[in-house]
Amino acid sequence: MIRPRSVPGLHVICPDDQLEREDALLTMSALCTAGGAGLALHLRPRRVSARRCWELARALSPISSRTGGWIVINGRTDVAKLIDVDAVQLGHGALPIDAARELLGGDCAIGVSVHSEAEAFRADQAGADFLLLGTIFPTASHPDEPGAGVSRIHGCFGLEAPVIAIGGIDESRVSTVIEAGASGVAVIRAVWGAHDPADAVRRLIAELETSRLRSGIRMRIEVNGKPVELESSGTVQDLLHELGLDSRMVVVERNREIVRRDDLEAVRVAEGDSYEIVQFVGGG
Amino acid sequence: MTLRTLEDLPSGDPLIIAEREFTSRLIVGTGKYASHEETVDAVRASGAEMVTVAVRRVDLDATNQESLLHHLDPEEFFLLPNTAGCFTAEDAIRYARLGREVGLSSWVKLEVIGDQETLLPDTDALLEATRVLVDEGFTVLPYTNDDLITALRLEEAGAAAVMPLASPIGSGLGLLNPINIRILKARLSVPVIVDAGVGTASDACLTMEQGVDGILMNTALAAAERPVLMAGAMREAVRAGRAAWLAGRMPTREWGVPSSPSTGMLG
Repeated sequence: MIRPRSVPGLHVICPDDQLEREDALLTMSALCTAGGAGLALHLRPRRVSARRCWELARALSPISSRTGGWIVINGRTDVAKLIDVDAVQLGHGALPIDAARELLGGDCAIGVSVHSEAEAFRADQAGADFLLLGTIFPTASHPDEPGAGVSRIHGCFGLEAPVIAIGGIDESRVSTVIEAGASGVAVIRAVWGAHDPADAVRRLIAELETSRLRSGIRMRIEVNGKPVELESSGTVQDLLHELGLDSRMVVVERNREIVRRDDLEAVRVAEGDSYEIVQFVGGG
Repeated sequence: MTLRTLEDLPSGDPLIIAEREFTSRLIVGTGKYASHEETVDAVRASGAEMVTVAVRRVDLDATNQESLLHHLDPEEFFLLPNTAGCFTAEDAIRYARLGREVGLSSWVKLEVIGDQETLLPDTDALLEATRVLVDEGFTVLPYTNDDLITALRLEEAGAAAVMPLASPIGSGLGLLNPINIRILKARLSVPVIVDAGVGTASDACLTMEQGVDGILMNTALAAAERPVLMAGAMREAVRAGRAAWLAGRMPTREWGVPSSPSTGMLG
């Protein structure tokens, strides 16, 4: 099972028109870098070929494992298995959770798209690692649906799987859904409709962090095997400062990857991160 | 430079590992000392240039748990991170990478322990970790047992030196199998550093007299009643043993041979 708190807060969905673009890889890797560990990039191929999806996932996977973010394949469990991505998203008509788990093993998180409290409850019971709960606000991609409003998020209170709100969410609505109890947001237009998508990702992640902290949700991480709660967000360098450590004297491993000294000020601490901070001591 | 007197050592007879010259053939560890001050005093008294350190978690609860880097100046000593306490190749590789990230060098004293009671090495895992780390550009100094075949394989895997034990880590039993150590030395091209088991100055001297390139020790100093004094004794012993080896000892005989002339005796 995936630890629920480690699911990234911002889910950016790449629909067909984005997957088809010639510069897709360039744009998407820029998003991965901008989003770091806080970003789950969903490849959602509907009419796009399996091959195109596989090529993109294969190229993006090493980038996301460096940044600590996730690549999520929507629907195509075959591609997810081949590339060994972080998560698969199961929507309408996809494999059941059990079957997907059997195919993908325990290291691949399973997200399920749900559109009511009842569906959310069933997916949670069936062992989903996170839920994409729609449709919260009216959206261009589902023009016929009125939008359930944040009451649907309230209705999912107490579920084990983190709830990621989807549907008409932009920067101005992030705080509303987080206050309602969502763990994160999924967006399409808020990023792809922006003049600078990478900048939109950065702004959304910053807004998510602010909203969480404003709602009294502390960032929970683990340092040297012990739980640590942070009241503010920041970089790994800020974390070392908070802990009273001199960055020249220690080495930091974040989620089992060494953070190079030059990157300490660039890498942001994300919810659910696990750190090992080591130093030289006497030894033979 | 010709070596004629003890004073020609060590400058005329440096220890060379991976093209780097060390003036002292004694390498010392920094574990188990009573204080940082005692560590530094003993290391200085030993004359060692290469000094091993361990990589461990920072203790977040202790306010005054300082890095050894505050006390051992990397300008004065060549710090060699170890992978002590690792029981798998994967762990040892992880520790080696962390040690390198401190930014001093790409050298590692590689230990993969196979048994908690004896602390004897897991030589399969050791070979595997050596291959991976050499491939990643590390200068690997593996701690191993005194087995020739393993030593040859480590050399083949790219180890910069091979470090067989004299006896188990921390045992102080001295050199248990001088013959194996001599065989290793005769057959390997890379330097042979005896690592672990030396207990006192005579052990160190006897070990160096086998012709090995150096000795690595920790507990023999740290667990002595007066560590700084023992460090000085070890410095002298390693130097004496090396000089004796270079000097070429006399052959042994079972019967007495007079040292004074048998002619010119009074009538």
